[in-house]
Amino acid sequence: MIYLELFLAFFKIGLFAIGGGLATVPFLFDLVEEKSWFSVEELVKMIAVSESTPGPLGINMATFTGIQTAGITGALIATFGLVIPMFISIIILSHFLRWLKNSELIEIMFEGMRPAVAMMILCFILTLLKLNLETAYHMGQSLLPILLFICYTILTFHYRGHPILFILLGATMGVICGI
Amino acid sequence: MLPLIQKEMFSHKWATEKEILNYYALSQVTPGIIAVNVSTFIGYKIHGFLGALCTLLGVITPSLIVISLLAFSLAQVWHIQWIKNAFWGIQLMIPALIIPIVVQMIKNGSKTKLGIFVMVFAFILRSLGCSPILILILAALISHLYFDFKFKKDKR
Repeated sequence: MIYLELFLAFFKIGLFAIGGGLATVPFLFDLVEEKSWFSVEELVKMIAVSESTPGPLGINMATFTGIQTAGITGALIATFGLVIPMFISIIILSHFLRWLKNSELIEIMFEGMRPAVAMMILCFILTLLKLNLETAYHMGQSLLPILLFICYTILTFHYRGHPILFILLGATMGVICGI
Repeated sequence: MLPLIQKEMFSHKWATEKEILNYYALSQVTPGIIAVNVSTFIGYKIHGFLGALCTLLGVITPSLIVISLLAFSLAQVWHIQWIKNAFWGIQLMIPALIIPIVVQMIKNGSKTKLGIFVMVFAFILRSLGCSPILILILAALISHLYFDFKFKKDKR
């Protein structure tokens, strides 16, 4: 049952999405192998589209994955699956807010989880780069993508702008290099 | 996203600045997407469970509509060659876009011994193909043990 699987997969992601939308990426990457709902290339397309549209990245990713896998119903189920754990935990937290003044235990656990999330995203980037370079190598171009990537990275470190600007730049360079 | 939430809440007099900042801080230490958590907090404060449900629906509906429309229109054009080339270019841009964010996260993490240890540990486990959930649970456990140990040592 694809709907139930989608719901459970995103429920799990929602429960463990710590530190913003990008934290969903390592989970989605694992779905590529576990479920074969989409490929790594499609995952990259999904990140590009989610980064360049309004709305929280995590929600956009869930909607897109849902659509890719099971149409509009899939989108609804994936998105609700993602937000239900957050919704429940916030409702419970609001309810007991007076007792939770010393939320030290939660604070302490998050202290260790945040650096772990950073490393998992780093691993995703490394895998993505490896994949890109391998594909390029098989197509007979190995220098161009490395050069492009280095230029891009220098750019993103020096200029803070809306992601859509960088994504448009990436698209333009892709079209130019394709000719 | 936070400035937008603040502006909207002030204009309706639904929450004070201090309340929003409290919700924001709490949202960072609860699982989930910060925008969703903050809006659920505010909805619950204004009108209980129903209020929270409404703010939740409000915050996810734009994404649902925009992404659905985009996904369908993109599906029509994905086979065209120059669009394929464009996505090839984007594919290289995505890691470049994420790297500054991750570097910042790593900088924050390496401020403490615990952070450095967890990062090395998480990197090794993830490279070996460990699931993110297991890594997060272990990281939380290590953190707990570390502070427990530190607390006892300080007390002595």
